[in-house]
Amino acid sequence: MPSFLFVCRKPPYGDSLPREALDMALATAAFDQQVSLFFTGDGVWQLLQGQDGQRADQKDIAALISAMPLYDIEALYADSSSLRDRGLRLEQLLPGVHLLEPSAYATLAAESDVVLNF
Amino acid sequence: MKFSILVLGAPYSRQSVQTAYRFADAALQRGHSIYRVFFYHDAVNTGNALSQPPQDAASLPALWTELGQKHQLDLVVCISSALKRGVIDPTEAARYEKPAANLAPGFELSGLGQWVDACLNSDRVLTFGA
Repeated sequence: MPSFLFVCRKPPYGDSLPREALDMALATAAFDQQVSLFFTGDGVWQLLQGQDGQRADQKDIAALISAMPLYDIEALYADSSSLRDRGLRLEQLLPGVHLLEPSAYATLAAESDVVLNF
Repeated sequence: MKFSILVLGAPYSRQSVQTAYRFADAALQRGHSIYRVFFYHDAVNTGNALSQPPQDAASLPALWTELGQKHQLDLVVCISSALKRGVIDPTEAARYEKPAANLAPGFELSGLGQWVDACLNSDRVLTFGA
């Protein structure tokens, strides 16, 4: 089965691109493809627990990410160095997110058939 | 090589629509093929036939229409991204009772499945970002 890797670089609100990237990831999984998501840079803010998109009149990104396992997307990765740079810890992130060191990301990207950057 | 191209940036705001066009044109000239171009996010405005740049600037919708017709390209505008941004074809305009349609010639509205299909049927996919 071809594997798709979505690289999510943008913070959750202020731009609709992060949401449209997640919509594409869900659609890809709905077509029975293997999907991984890697959150890096300010994209790691999408994974923060306790966010409330409705206060910005937006649908909640965290709710969408939390629903990923229902679509058989279990591979949710946060860039460990991006977390460190921002003073964030894994415990502050949504359940089911795994840490990935930069070297492990390089392997994941190399092994993925399609890599899409958002 | 068989390419598919994902375009995300807004025409006239980001360089990426222009860069994607130049890549597609160069690849075709070198004998490569393009399976599909998928306009997503703000790039859906590339399919807006009502866009009118000043006289000293190129019309990006017209450039893509011309390239598409010359090479029989499949130029797909994501329907969910497009409708909320006011890019609409006659069928959808009738369905949602809108006063007009504006999708440029050579483009078609379709869903994300078209992009997944493009990824599965191309040697390489390239993203031109937002």
